[in-house]
Amino acid sequence: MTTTHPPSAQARIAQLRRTFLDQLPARLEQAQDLLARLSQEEPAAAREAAVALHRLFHSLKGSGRSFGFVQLGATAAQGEVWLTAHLENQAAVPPPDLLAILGDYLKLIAQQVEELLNLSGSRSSGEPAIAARREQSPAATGERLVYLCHDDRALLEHQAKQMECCGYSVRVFTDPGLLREAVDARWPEALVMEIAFPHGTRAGLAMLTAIETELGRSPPLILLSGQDDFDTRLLAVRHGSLAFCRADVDVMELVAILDKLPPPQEPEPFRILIIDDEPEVAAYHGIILEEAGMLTRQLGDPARVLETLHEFPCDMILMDMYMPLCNGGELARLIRQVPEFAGLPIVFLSGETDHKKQISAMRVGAEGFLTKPVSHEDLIVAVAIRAERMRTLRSLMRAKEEAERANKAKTDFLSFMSHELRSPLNGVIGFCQLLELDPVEPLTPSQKESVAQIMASGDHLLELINGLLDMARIEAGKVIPEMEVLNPASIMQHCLSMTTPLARKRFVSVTFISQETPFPCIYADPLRLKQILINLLSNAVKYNRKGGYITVTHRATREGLLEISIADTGLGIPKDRWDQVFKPFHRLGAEKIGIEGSGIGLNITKTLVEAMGGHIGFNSEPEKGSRFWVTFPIVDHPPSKEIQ
Amino acid sequence: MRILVVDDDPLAGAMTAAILEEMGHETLLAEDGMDAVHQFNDDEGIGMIVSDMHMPLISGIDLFHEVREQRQGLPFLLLTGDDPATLLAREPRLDACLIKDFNLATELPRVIGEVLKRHPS
Repeated sequence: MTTTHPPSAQARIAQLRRTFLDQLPARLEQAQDLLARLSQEEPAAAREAAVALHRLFHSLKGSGRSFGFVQLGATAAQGEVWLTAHLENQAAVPPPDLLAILGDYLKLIAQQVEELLNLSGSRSSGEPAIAARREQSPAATGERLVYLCHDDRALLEHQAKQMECCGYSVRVFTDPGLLREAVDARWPEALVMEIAFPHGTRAGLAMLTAIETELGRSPPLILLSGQDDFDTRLLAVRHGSLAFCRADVDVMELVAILDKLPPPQEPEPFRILIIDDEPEVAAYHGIILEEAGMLTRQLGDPARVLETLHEFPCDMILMDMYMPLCNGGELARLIRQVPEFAGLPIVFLSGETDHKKQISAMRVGAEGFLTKPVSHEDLIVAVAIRAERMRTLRSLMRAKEEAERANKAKTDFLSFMSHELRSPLNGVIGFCQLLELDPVEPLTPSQKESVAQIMASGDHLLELINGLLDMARIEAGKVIPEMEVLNPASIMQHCLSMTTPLARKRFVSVTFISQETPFPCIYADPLRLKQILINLLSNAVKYNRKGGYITVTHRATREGLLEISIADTGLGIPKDRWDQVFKPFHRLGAEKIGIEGSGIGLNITKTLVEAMGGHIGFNSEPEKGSRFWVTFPIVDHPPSKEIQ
Repeated sequence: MRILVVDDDPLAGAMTAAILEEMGHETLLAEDGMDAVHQFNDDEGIGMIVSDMHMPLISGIDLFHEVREQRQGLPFLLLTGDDPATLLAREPRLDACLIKDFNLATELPRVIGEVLKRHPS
């Protein structure tokens, strides 16, 4: 069940409270004045000042507390105690330390007053710019709506009254089940809610989750609980609560928290540019849209459209179809040709009822066509929908840019780190080689073994780092293949001979089937082609079974492509992982069977192949093996020079 | 009922009055003890006094003694910024003594309800 409290004694008290607050600086000034008079020579006047200051402290204490300024009241009370003692002492002139103490209290009070004024000031200022939204949004009406929900009805009523005295509008709920609808109907500035209810120790939280799920967001939240322990507080934090209070919290504490909440964000009004050579018509449409809470700028001279768009960044343009200087279609095209404004929605407004003409107007890039006279609602809806879409688009673009920036930062980092890692690593490997080859102090067999281990690990690490560096370079767009017409035959041979030692180690035999068939020429970067082939070949070795086979073939396809294919007899790639093959850092489970690698080789390979205008593909059968192939367009004329 | 509210702080007085008017009472405001005594003498219809304790010249308790001399049994509530128990000990004939704090908006109606039950006039 819910109750709304009509503005009444609470509203009047809220007003008095505000007045009290506004008068505080004057009272404070008076107090400073009295303090100064306290130390004067004339005993009677000093005493008179002390009595007056005592009264002032006392009044600040009483009224401060009455209006719920607890801290202020407490500070004033302490000042009062000192003055009472002084007055009872009958001493005419107060000792210097008393003056200092009272001065400190006044400073403290001044600080508290300033804080209070700041808090209330931030509320009353910031006049919302939107007229029409005022009715809908409680924030804009200046009403500060708070929903209060726990099962102690008497306490609820009491708290509601006190909060209303502080200028809040409060709706109370004893049943969290009613909250969702209420929140949906009117969005509160804050929700103050107990975690536990008689029907469930976490019924409050369950309701919050429901609100969040159904409405996609939840109001600023203050959670209350009878239990104050780490777990409960953690639970509150996890549910997005801004503050946690014990169930028996003093209302003024709640008010202090609520006062500090940032004012609810008003959505930025839509900005609409209206282009019409008749100022009255433009002004008329402007008024309608401004009534609906939008910001408008009216432009009578189409020739100034571009500078106006720069001055007044807008979400959409409402444009008259027929103007003396140029027609709407021309102007729309002109605007669209500026890359910055290419996506800006444009809606034409005209007396044109001929559908054909309307359609041709749409063709030149208008988002819509409104026929004059247009009803207020139609105009507002047509404009708002498009402006909203533009807003969404812009925020998506911003998000994309943000992501791209982040990605670039990552790439830069990778590149930097790889460089930094590579230099010391080269040192490690280099000195290992020196140790191995030192004829003066030869290593013992066990030392030799250790050094070999160090070198193997170092080589592996170097390979990983080089891969990362490559990837970073590619992502940064720094890899531009140096293309030339070449015959891959010698490159192929070179790659095969480079792979042989590794293959032998694993008892894998490599067969180059079409060795006798002459290679056609292709257009490629010889260095990169070598990198591609070595990568595919070493994969075929690494992922092969012991004693397996690698078959290398090449052929000219009917489409005029050179296809080089490398088949292995390894474990194959399960079908459900095919889509991950070329993605970086996917090892497809290879790490489990002890195959070295970083998982970026194929990603780099694919990028390089495509950078040279080629394609890469594969098929695979589990337990039988995989076949990877690359294709490049064949170049008909012979190479200008022989590539070694 | 017509209630005389006495407080040297006009804002605090207005606040008390707002609460009482919310309860359906009519209120008169006085800013010090002298003013209160004058108004009380001029108006027979005043059925209760709600006064601040600490005021210049005449304190709340002095005012209480003054009006009780003139009219026995007039309900008198004292509001104070200090400890109400001490005051009640000093003057047990007071109908009630309430601390001035933000609970006043709910406490005052409750206490007045109790006081009125005891004075079924």
